[in-house]
Amino acid sequence: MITRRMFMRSCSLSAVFLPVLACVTEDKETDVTWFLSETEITAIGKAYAQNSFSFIDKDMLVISGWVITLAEAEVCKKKYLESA
Amino acid sequence: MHKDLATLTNQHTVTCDLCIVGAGAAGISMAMDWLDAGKNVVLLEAGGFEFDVETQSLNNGTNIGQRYYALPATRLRFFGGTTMHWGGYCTPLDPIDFEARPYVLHSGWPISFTEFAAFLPAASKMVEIDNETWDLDTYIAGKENYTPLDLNPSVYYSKLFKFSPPTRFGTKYRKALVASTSITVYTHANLTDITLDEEGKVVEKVQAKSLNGNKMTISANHYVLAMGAIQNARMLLVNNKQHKQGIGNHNDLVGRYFMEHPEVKTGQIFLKRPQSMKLYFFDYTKIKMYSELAIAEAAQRAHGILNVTAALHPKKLSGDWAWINKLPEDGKESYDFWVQAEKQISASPPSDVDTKKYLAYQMQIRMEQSPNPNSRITLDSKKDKLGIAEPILNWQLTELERNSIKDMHTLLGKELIQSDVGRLHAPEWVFDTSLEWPATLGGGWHHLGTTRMHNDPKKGVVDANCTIHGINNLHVAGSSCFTTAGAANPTLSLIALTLRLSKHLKQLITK
Ligand SMILES: Cc1cc2nc3c(=O)[nH]c(=O)nc-3n(C[C@H](O)[C@H](O)[C@H](O)COP(=O)(O)OP(=O)(O)OC[C@H]3O[C@@H](n4cnc5c(N)ncnc54)[C@H](O)[C@@H]3O)c2cc1C
Repeated sequence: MITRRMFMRSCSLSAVFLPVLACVTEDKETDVTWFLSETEITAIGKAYAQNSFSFIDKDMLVISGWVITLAEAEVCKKKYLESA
Repeated sequence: MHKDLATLTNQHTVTCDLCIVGAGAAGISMAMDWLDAGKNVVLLEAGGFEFDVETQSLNNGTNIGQRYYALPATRLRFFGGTTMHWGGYCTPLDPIDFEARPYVLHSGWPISFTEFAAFLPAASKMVEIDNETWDLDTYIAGKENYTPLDLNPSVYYSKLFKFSPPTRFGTKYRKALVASTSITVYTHANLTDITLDEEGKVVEKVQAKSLNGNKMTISANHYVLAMGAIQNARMLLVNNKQHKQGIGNHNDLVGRYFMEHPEVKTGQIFLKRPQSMKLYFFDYTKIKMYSELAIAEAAQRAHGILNVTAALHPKKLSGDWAWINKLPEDGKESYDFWVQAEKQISASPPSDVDTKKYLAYQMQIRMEQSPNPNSRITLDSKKDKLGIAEPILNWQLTELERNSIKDMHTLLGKELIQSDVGRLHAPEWVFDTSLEWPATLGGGWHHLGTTRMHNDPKKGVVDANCTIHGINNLHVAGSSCFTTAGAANPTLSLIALTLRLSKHLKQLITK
């Protein structure tokens, strides 16, 4: 199997791997339950609702110690507001 | 040949081609390189062939900076030196470590990675690791279940570590050195005095003493100090009869730039899918290699981050690291602690952990400390039993270390998302650099930089050949010569550097 790592290694041209990155990030994962507990979801949702986070990229942020996507933070916020 | 200064009655004077001071990783590696050189070599060792409390107490000293391990518990003072309880982690310095990096003040070695790497095969032999490639992919090709995390290698890659058995240099090389007719090992011979000629440019002789009062004088063509980074600086500073500031210290650099490898538990990685993590699984004395996540050179440069690697342990199996604050402070208790720990671990069977069962991994980082002139060794007014001023260690970290930890976590978190491998969480202190270091911050017991290498005497104590600026026959072997620390455990690299110095000395001495 050719892994992404091996692929990158064999073609270090950024022109080649940038579109690959774009594909990976385009299809956003919005299920957060595989890495966050209910308590963490609520805490992140609350922090996000209160603007207590910092962007590290246009669609990624650091919040409550987690590095997650904007879409994931939105999911947490939604769940937090629903539970509030 | 072996002679014990403690049992030699008359005032002893010897002349030789080369006098090596200190029989640890560096000193023994150099001496072994001279076994068949047909030259007269003296190897002075402060201790005997076994640990003894009184000699170990000569390693006492005081910490006044960043909280650190008690000094007598960080080095061993007998034949074999600190290798008599080192952990055996081996990986070389990286090419970037030798570069002058604009974001790392005082960086840039006067030698290239290639010049250094030429001596890695011989150094590997000394620590009994294989001499195969350091390229992980080539190394693990065909090995079942050794699967690196599928990250973008221009951001994060998996770095190969090999494990020495660990070689106890005092045990492994004693026989060959003692049997040699050209090498004389003097035990219980503590270097005390270094005497320069009238002009202060050449070492004329050195003196060694045993704790029971015996003395010897050695007159050699060349001298190599190989006593470890704290002791090398201490002995240069303390010998201040001819040069007021100490030997090689015209520019107030000896003892400065002390570096460690800060080691601390940081974030956790949550894998999206189970995979074998056998490659990263540490099983002391049972594994010959493993891998740590490492930040790629391009990413270090692009983000101004110091070199860092991170060991990954299944979160469920990783302890709280509080033991780091409970380590014995006394030299003997510490020695016993490590010997006991190794016995216990070696007696246990290899782990049968199935890493595929774990999705959460705790990161334990080992990082480069940036060179900092204020992080330093100075002399105390307190003296040891031989009348030598004790060292004071003022270990000082800078903002760059904290910023690097923050940025390497941000970057890894991002990369885990982009590569669809997982997510990262880290404690508050990682992202908020205004907070204190956590109480569990430790070091690797690695002492570096106190006689740093630079071609400009105003910026370094030794030149590119590890010779003290202005004193042509006085050389230094060991990690005190490191200009920057890298993130690699230092012993393999310091041996490579020592063997490079050895080659240079052969050219000088056989001329
Ligand atoms: C617990 C622990 C674990 C470690 N694990 C690792 C690891 O996994 N990987 C790694 O790379 N490194 C590790 N290290 C670091 C490693 O031990 C050192 O890098 C290495 O031993 C340094 O070699 P050296 O020859 O410079 O100094 P040392 O090995 O300390 O030897 C110095 C020698 O000089 C002698 N000496 C001192 N003063 C005098 C004097 N005045 N006169 C004559 N002789 C003198 C001493 O008695 C000693 O024999 C570890 C260290 C510790 C404490």
